[in-house]
Amino acid sequence: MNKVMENKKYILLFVLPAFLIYLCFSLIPIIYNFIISMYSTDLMSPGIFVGLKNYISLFTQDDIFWQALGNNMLMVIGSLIAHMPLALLFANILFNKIKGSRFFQTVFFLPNVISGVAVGLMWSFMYNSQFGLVNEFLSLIGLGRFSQDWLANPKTAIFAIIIVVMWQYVGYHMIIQLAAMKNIPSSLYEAAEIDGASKWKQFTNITLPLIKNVLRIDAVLIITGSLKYYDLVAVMTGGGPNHATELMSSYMYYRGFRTLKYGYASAIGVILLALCVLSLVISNIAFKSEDIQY
Amino acid sequence: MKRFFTVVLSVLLVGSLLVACSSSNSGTSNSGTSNSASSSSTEPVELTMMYNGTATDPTLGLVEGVVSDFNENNTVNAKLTLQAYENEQYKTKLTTLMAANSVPDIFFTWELDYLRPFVEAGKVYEIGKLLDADPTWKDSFQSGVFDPVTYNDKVYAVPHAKSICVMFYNKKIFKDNNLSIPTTYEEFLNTCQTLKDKGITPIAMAAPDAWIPAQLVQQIADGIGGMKIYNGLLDGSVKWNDPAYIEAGKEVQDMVNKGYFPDGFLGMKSANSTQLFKDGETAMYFMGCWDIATVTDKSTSSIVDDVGAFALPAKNPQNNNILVGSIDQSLAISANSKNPEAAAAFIKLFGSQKYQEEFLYKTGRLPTTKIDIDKTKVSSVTADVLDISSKVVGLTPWLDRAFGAGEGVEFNNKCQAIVGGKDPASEFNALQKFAETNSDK
Amino acid sequence: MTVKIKNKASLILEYTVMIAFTILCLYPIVWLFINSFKTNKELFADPWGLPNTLSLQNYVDAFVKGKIGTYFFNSVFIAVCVLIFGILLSSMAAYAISRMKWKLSKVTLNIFLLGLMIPIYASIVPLFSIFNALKILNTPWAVIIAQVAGSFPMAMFILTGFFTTIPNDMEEAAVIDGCGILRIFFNIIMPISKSSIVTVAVIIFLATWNDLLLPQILLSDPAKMTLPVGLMAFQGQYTTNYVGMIAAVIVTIIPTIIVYIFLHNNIMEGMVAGAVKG
Repeated sequence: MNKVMENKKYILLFVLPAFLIYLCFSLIPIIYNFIISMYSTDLMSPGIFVGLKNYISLFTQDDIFWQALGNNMLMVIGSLIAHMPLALLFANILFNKIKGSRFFQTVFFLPNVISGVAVGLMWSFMYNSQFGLVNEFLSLIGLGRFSQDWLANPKTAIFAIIIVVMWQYVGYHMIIQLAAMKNIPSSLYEAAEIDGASKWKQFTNITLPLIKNVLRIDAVLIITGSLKYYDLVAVMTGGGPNHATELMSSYMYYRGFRTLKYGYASAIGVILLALCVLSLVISNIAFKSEDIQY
Repeated sequence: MKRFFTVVLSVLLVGSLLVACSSSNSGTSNSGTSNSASSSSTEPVELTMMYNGTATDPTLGLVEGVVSDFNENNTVNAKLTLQAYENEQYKTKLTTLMAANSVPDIFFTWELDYLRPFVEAGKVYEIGKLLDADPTWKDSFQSGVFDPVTYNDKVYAVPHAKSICVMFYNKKIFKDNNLSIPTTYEEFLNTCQTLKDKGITPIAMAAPDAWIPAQLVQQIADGIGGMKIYNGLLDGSVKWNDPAYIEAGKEVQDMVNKGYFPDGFLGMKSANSTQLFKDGETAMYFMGCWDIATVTDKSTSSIVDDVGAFALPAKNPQNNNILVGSIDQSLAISANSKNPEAAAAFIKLFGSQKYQEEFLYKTGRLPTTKIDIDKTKVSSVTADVLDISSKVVGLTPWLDRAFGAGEGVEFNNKCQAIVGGKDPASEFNALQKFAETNSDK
Repeated sequence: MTVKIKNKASLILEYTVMIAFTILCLYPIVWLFINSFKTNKELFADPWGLPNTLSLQNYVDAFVKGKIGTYFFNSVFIAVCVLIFGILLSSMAAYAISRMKWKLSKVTLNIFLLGLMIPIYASIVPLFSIFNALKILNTPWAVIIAQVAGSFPMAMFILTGFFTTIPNDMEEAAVIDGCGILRIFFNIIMPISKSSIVTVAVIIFLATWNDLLLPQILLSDPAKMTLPVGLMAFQGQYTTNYVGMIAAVIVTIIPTIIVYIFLHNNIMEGMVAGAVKG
């Protein structure tokens, strides 16, 4: 047995192809990215080494970068609102075994299997000022005065996109949370029922603490997810008007592939990566410190 | 999660080893390919051309005509394939292909700083050599048209049209409302107000394509500051937050506030706003003269015979007839084209008298070659534009061409923000700050 | 009594919330579907209503002018290649890591799992120049390789998780029967891991089918574009042909919805697997 399972030749044969591809096209690009970010280059002529200058100028001189970073933060906040309390509400309703639970799960989950481009186009039709349903609906319920060009107005555009993000992914997080709830032994609820605890009490005292670990992971998913969005913005506004809906990803694309500042674009990529790692570390610390209170 | 940090550590170790191996050679150097056409083979030479145009654009049909003429009648044994892209897509495509060193043999380009980085990186074939070798070809062009595509005294593209920004107007609406062509900026504003008071939207405009509001701001700024604010930007003596640009921004913002542009223009697709003018819904439309083709396209326009054009009067009358404009329809050859001579043969055909005339008479493109214009063959709006063109005393190229994808595009974005209600002074201050830091990234 | 009424009231409230969101999820798709048969004029005149005639003109436009058929085929080709290579290579590696005995297996697994938090978007510029140097830019292989590499972390996570639960005696019996490792893997392990593999397949398929950025940057020839990129191009080309665009969107999402209808259990399980088991 061990002879077969320790055969070095086969281990290499099994692991090496995947590992090499992963190494060359996932890990090395990350490191390479870090190197490019310290150059000023248009990828056509030899680059000039500029050290940390791209980073310094991103943070100290680039208003558009801050705008993009701010939009990403808005995206994080909006996603956290929709994908924590709202998704939890949905999950809890389904957890209480209402009829049609399976149906609701399937339907709520549907939007996030559809491609971002299709969803983005679909919602830009919804927001369209000439035939879009959003304005039509507003005037139907007597709020016609709020009708406007949602994606063209710099004040509303980013929120219009955040709403789509909320819409698209709420079902995903609901399913995650529901799956966690289903792992809780039902005896706990039976005991609480006998003690006469209200549903709300059961939720705060049993459900929440016991799914905390999954919520922690979910929070990381929500935050890193919010940092990565690209498709919706690319389709719905292209980052405009005047960068009002720029995200780090779309700004990176703009700086690299439109203005030929590839080193600068790579620096944005490095920051994006750093923020993903940071969110993981922070959420670990945040949820750890809560542990002590219990 | 302790595990996580050990993982990070191990990867960093692996990574630091790899850094040594993957030494940075960002930028594949370009070994100038200079293979000439192998004339001995009977197989036709395959050429590809990348062109900026959409199926809804009437000029694309004419370009396709030139291509099939070339494919049937050329003497260089070549076959050309045309790839057409939409504007935004075209720009992205060209930059990525340039970096990848795989630009097709012939490509459409804009002039000045748009083409400059590609020329400097050695990606563009010096077509000037072939022009010099063929004096009749070179001499067929009007003087000065090569200036915007000349870098270090070498010519890198061939322009096939001249473009200026004009104010198209609907003669019928003007007549019905007893309006005449404004000769001063004051009169122009009064015309707008009169139309507005009568319930007619004065000017068609669409803001999502940022360059559209930007060219109006630039035109008004030219009227305020003249050639010197453009030349000053080039040599650095004028800043992007120059009072002339701020004042122009305020003027356009004022027009927005007075309702001179269509409802919802901030989110309107440019094709839709053009359609408003073509349907007789707006009285005027400010655009490059290439849109003669669109506004006189019988299949979509109901005002074909009612279109005229005038030059927007300057706010300071001494700057009258200084217009936003430049050359257009420039074609260049990629440095890695294996058959620059065959490609040049196509470009020569594209600029031949036959097609310069066809472009002029059918779509109103102003020629760059010295052809005798038959005034009876041009539409009345083309005649207007030719007249405007003959009176031009100075042209300021679109700033997004003169300053490329950095400041030029940002100028457009700032103008978009200004028509959206942002303060012109602070927007142009931000642009100046951007310009100061953009050059060295 | 009051408790009952209260319960009933809260139940009604719960249903209202759930049904409202159901409508919000489904109606936009239904609305698009209905409008895909209208003309532009009809759409502007009455966005809510049914079309006057059931014309397929918009679909014809989407396929003929918009070349949606070509994009569709390209998307299928890329997705199938990514599925084959991604599943084969990741399950082999996952098997060797979780079942075979070697010193660095833990470290290797951790290096793979590290990828779970690396957004592939962050390194798009280096990917572009690496593929450029390899001369496979503007071929489907650039996208396929990038997607395969990007699929490993999640695939390894799910598959190693499953493989470790397989009891030892199956392999032992096979070894005694004289099976080699290849036969054990392909004839025993792969078949019993079917559900996990389907889960991985679904994740890989959706990620590849829906992605915009990689094909947008790595492919430039219009004949090689995938559906999401093609949709963007269609939007740029025919800016005012809204109904044609709507038809194109419908063509894009229908395959996903069909896959979803048949495999929604696997899909839901797969896409949340990372979170719940982690």
